[in-house]
Amino acid sequence: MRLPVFSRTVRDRRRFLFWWCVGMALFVVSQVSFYPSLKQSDALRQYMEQAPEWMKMFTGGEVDIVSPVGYMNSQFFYLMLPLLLFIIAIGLCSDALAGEEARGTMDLLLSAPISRRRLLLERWAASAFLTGVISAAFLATALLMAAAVRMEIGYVKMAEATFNAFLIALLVGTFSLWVGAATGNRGLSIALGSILALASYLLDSLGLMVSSLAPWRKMSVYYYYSSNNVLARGLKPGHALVLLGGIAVLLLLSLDSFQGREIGVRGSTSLPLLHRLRTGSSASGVTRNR
Amino acid sequence: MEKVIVTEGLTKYYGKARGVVGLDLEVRKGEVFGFLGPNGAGKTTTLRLLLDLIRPSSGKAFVLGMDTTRHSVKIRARTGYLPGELSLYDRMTGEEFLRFFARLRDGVDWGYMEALCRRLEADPSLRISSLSRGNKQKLGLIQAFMHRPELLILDEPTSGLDPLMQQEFHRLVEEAREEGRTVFISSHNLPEVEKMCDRVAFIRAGRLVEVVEVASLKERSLHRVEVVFAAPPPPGIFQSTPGVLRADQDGQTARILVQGSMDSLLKTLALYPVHRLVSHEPSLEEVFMTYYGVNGPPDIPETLPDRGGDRS
Repeated sequence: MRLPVFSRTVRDRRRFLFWWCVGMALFVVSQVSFYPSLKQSDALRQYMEQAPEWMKMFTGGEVDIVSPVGYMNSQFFYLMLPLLLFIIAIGLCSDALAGEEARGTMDLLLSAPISRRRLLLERWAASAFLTGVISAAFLATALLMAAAVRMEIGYVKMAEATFNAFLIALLVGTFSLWVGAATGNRGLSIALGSILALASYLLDSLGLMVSSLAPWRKMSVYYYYSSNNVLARGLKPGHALVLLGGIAVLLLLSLDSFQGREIGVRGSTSLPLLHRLRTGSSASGVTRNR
Repeated sequence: MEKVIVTEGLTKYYGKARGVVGLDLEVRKGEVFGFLGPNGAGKTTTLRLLLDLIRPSSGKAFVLGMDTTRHSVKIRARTGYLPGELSLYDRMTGEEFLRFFARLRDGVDWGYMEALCRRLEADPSLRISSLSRGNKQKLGLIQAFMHRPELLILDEPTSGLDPLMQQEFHRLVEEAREEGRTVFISSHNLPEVEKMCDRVAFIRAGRLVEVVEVASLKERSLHRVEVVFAAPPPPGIFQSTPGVLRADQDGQTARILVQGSMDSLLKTLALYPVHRLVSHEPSLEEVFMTYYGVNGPPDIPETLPDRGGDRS
């Protein structure tokens, strides 16, 4: 099967990919190489045991940051890895359609005999692939470094936890893709994607601290990423399915919106599904102009 | 006769802003069809509707016998398009760009592509960000012509091209016509359209004004002539000259508006010693004024909003 848009997108992003992989590896190396000295420090352990409650927000409620699992969680999986992958996925997915439209190249691209559905799927797949490769670079470096400092950690659990971070990042990225497909507005796509990431992270973390917010945690997509401690317990199928299902729904919404998108018309929003629900008609390709 | 483009009451509003209104057009197979109008008249809107980049508010459009909103991919496989506001991938080289678009299409003859590059003097090894506007335009044209499509939809194709390249472009259009392919060109330049096209549609403020054969257009084409005589000629010498619509004499200088053939004017001038003779092509606005009256047809405002482009 020929995938001209997929392969072109990956080629155009080869420098982006290279530098992110290098950066990710350096980040892992710098963090993990502190582990041996940290392990022997009682002072830190004591400090963390006495630390105020809000500090746990940044470590996922972990007090133990000295065990291999606790250290990896606090340094990477609880916040930093998903944060970096959010930046990557939002950047790629907002660029995939809205960026193309903003640069004015969408007219030419869509004058070629490629359906909008196929263009969207190839661009999304390229974004997922690139995010996946950078996640894999993280995993490979982390495993190598763990072995180098004799940190005992399960390879499979590490892979599951990394895949979990990849899933939540792809979900947020696919949301950005949808905003871009509906509005053609790259800034809005980045902004709403970031807000989704930040809001769900805050809701989940605060829900951990504040008991009145606790019931709302399940509303946050971050809950399905973080609540299970994947590095200790492995991927929970139910939670992974929520993330995968979210990705699938957002991808369908993106396809629906992009099908009705008026290319290059600023201020127009394409939400055909919403329109169909409201009017009860089956008209497709309806775009609302502001 | 086979129709390549048919629009039926094609209408596009952007919210409340007018794009095109009730457009009925027919473009025949094998003709070079000019789509002429001032900036903001709705030319680009019409072309983008044909390519399904935007959707009609009402009315329909058919290209190569297929509904534009239903069979766009099939239509686009047989069409070459040059956008009016051409944007290319700055980080690619010309060759990378052309190869990418060749991969999106089937059956692009690389030899023909190279021939096009030579003819238009385009250097595909250069990075697109380093190219001038004219050189980018060449890549856009090559991209539109490279698969020898049955239909070419070209939005302001010569903008940015130097006169020599415009000539080469005219030859490409001529070749397409000889091969029985159809060319649909939008322009705001009447002389250029007269040179290339068989028929011309005039569009103004979103509405079709008239469709005419270029041959008949030439008979009523306008020229603005300025004559400087060696000595002031007697007044009123142009009064009985056929084709002269207006003549203002001011001492040695005369400013004359001529319609159709210049022959009679030249024969009149031949009787007097002429120092200098300058002929201008009239602006499209002057043409509209002369053809359709000072105020134009009733629904057309006298001054057109110039938004610097057809998109709103």
